[in-house]
Amino acid sequence: MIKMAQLMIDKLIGIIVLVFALLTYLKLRAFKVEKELALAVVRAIIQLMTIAFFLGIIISIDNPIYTISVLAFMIMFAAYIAKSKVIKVPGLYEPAVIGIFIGSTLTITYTVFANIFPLQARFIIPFGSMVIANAMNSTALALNRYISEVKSNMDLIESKLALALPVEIASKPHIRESVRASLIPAISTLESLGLVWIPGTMSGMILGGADPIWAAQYQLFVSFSILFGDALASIIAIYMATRVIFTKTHTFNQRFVISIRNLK
Amino acid sequence: MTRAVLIEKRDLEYLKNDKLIIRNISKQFNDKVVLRDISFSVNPGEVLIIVGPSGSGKSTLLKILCRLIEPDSGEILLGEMDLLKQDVLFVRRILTYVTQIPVMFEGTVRDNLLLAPKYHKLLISEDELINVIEEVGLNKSFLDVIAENLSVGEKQRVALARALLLDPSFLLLDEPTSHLDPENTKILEELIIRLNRKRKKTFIIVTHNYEQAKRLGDRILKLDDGELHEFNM
Repeated sequence: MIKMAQLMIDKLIGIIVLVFALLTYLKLRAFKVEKELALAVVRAIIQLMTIAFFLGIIISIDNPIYTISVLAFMIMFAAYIAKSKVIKVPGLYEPAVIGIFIGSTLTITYTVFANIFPLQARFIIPFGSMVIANAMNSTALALNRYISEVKSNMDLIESKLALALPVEIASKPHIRESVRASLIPAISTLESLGLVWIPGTMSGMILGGADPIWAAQYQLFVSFSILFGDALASIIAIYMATRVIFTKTHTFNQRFVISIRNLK
Repeated sequence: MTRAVLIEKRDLEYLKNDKLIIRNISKQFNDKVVLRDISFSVNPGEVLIIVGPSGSGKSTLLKILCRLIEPDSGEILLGEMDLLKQDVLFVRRILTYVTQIPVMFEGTVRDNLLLAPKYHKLLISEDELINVIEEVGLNKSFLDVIAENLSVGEKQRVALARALLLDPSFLLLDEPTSHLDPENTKILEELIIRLNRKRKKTFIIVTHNYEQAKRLGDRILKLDDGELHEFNM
């Protein structure tokens, strides 16, 4: 085990040296991305090694309460990142956190009850992180698209509200468009599955010596779970955001109107 | 949140003879006072014009009447009915607002005309559709034209026809001719006069154009710096 770890560190040092050589080249050629890249590389090393350290502890303890706590922390943090990726409109943290929470919790719970993965940290945390991270991205995409849609169609929506149509009808085409846009990455990934790339779970299992057919089935389960979690998180976040953007009296929330007026 | 306000046209009939009374309406956004203690009334069947420079709060006032914006204080009464305590969708069936920029919905003119009646479960016959499109000065062949392809003047008339199909007691027009050329302005003004005289429609119109106000208005009020004054023609 120690020998294997040392071997990996050797390989890592090799690739890190290559990355820094690339950074030096970019700096010399004044590409102006070297700082960003260097920061991302350093962050990736620190973040991943830290999580690996804690994961080692959590896996060795293997207590469901710790496992669930780690997932809860991931969801809270994912919602925070999703919100920070979204156009600055107040009140969107709640839709993001609830969307990601329900989307990923239902997906993970199903996995445990369907006996795909046992409720053990070794399985649930890596699987949960994939579901949560994807739900985070789709929620951020959905909310961003929704706000842009509403912002550029305010007159259209107001014309419908003025004809005594409720918010649900007036915002329907924009909700549809936003959910569709948020699912495009997940759908594209599914389309290219196996043809262009062999995704993480399947690659990992094959590298670990598993039968490719067995690995493909697990990969399909993971991919479909991610799609389900993405869709659920986006839909819930969008419907909740509707209550932030509009009021119960079927009109625009003035706080929303003021915040988007201040946007460029 | 969603609830279809099922009102038959005849249910709105009895409201048509009631006077609209606005009492002490005030509104401010952040720290800026937009409307200060606004009071006035609108008689059934009249064309009331509210004039004022850009940014004087005209559109805000019109949107408050149909509750697209809620006032900070004051009362809006129709006869003895307090409209601020009624279902907001019901209020918009009585006071229907036509936006300054005529935005078309997806699809044909027919789709545009039928969207709101379908939701309100109003049965609109083909004859009624033809009547309303002809009433706004377009012929029936327009019904199957993609609404987005119309000119601004035609869009403005379709927007008015959409509102007419709900048969509101009050039509609230926000700068209805601000995007129109002189020819289309004349057509729309004649249409407003015709609808007022023939169908006894009550209009509340805001405009920055004093000449237009004089041409159209039975009465003119002037809104300046958040306050309303009588304007002598």
